[in-house]
Amino acid sequence: MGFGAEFYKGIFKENPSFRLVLGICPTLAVTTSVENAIGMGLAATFVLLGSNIFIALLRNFIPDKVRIPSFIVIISTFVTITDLVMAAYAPDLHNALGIFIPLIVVNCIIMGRAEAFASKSSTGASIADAFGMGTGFTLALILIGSSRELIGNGTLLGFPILFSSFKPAVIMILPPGAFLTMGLLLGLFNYISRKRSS
Amino acid sequence: MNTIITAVIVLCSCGFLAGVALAIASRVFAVKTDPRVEQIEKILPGANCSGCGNPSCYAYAKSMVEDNAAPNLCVLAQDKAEEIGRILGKEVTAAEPKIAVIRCSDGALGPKQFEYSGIPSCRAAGFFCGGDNACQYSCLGFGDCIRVCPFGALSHQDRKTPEIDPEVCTGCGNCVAECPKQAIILVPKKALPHIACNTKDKGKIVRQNCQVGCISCGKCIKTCPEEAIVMQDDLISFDYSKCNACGKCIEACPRKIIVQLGDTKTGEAVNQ
Amino acid sequence: MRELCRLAIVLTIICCGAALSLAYVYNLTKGPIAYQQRLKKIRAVNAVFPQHEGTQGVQMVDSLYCDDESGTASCRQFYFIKQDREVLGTAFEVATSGYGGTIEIMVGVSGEAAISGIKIINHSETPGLGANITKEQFYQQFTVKNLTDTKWDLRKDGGDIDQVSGATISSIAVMQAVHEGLVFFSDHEDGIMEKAVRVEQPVES
Repeated sequence: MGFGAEFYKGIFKENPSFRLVLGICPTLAVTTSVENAIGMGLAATFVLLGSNIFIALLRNFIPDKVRIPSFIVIISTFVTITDLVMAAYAPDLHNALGIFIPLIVVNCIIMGRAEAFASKSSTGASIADAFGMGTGFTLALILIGSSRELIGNGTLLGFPILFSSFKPAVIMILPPGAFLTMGLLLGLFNYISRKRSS
Repeated sequence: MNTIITAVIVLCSCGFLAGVALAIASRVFAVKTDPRVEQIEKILPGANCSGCGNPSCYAYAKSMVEDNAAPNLCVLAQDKAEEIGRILGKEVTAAEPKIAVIRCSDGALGPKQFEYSGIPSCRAAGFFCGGDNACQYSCLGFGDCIRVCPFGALSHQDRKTPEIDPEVCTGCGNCVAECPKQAIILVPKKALPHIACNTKDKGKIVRQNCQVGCISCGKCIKTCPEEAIVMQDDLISFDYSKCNACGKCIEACPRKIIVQLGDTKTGEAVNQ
Repeated sequence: MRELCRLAIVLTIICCGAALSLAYVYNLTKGPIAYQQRLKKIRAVNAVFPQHEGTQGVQMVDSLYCDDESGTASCRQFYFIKQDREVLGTAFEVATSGYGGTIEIMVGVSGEAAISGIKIINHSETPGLGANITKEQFYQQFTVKNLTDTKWDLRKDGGDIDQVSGATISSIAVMQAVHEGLVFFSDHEDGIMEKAVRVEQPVES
């Protein structure tokens, strides 16, 4: 598989949120607005990229028996770096994402890619994979976030989009709205992929 | 500077302690496995197609080592059976490679008993009076076999009888088990003839239900110089240990229902 | 034995690398993070004294006031707006637990012991309901409220505070926290003001 294919598979065919259904906790929790979704997506992409590169580089050096603790140390290092940098230079976003930045450590997407891909593949392929998966995750978050923000608040990225008489359905920003949106989008993705395959 | 030293000391001691603990644990709790299982598993293709009768390649490797299973059951690793045999310390001969063929020319061609608009699955359709096709033995064409193929060797259009790509088919037998009409069989992967019909009806009924079905005329049996064709329940079958691929039966069949393997377009050949 | 050493050494090396890089990033971001946190407080103080914003000669100082009398030594940070040694206003933080978590509020009190303004610094109330406590409308009603003339209850209970619709718990939490802060301030006004006069070092921003 070429680097291009490694990249593109993360966006639709193996989209971490809609096809693999990994890392659902932050997906549901932070997508109350598009801004949060973008912030979370970029943070996860950065961590994914950093951990994939390092794990791919060190894959022959790390013995099998201590690979999980090693991966976790590498991942949590990148998460902490993200956390600190975000607190220093994007305090509002850091405030909005709150606990979910530290929780990237236990995000299944990152651990999953480290274990299933980066520990067995070349550095180049791992970078392509990280970019693809990160982009897929970010796009998925934006998709959920924009649907929820639009219906639940009548805005996109904080700007009012819908006509003024629109009464926002607040439930879409509340936790049930996350499940509703996620379920409908999952159904849509399954429908599209079934259409594609037949 | 102070923070750096503290961080390094704390994290390093954590790492060191965890490393030692894991090393000790890996020794104390080590599970003794036969190294041959792992060696054989590496040779096996890892497709987990279950064509050998085991749920996974690992299970097959384990059963070879522990339960003395035959090493030539894997259709994908036939050329490696000898290597596996060497690991096991056994004499092994590669098994005859097989391929799946569908014994129906085209189920979609014949008349229907009713209009079916239920779940698009052969198994589901088969529950209603044996499916909508008038011929009760024909391919229902919803492609259940396509969905179970782990190698993607089957394909079809609409509800036509699926085609099997002989280059891709490994003869794992998943589709054979899946077909509710038992219309798929495994045949040797040499260019031998087989019959593209599954009907056990009498000739008269076949004529009503299908333009191309086997009418049990028996011409092929008479023509065959090797007596490799036998008829049972109004359906012929080949004894491939006798067949020499002379092709006389193919010419003799009035319904053009006996086809050579590798000719994947059975339906079209029959239509012309 | 060799494998045992290898496992421990590899994990130690990785941890060492992680520790070094983290310590480096920590040192790099320590300043900006502290600055951002301070900036947040200063912005909140400015927000509760809208009338003094941008006025020439006004400066902000801050000091820790410790309530030594009660023996528990509970200390609170106070921010003072000063002009030529005269204290124009005092701001302080109060914290309370709302519906979804802790709510932190900056309360500004002007010279006449009446509220100049409030501002929610942190909260985790329900978006669309409790989160509406951060709306300007809700803030504004606290202006000029004081301890003597105001009935600190929700309007529906016969008080003077309008609640955010659908968020009684959040509204009560904010109201009570502001009230409690105001009580603390008026109880210790002399001591706090004494500090205010003494502190000279302006808050850099």
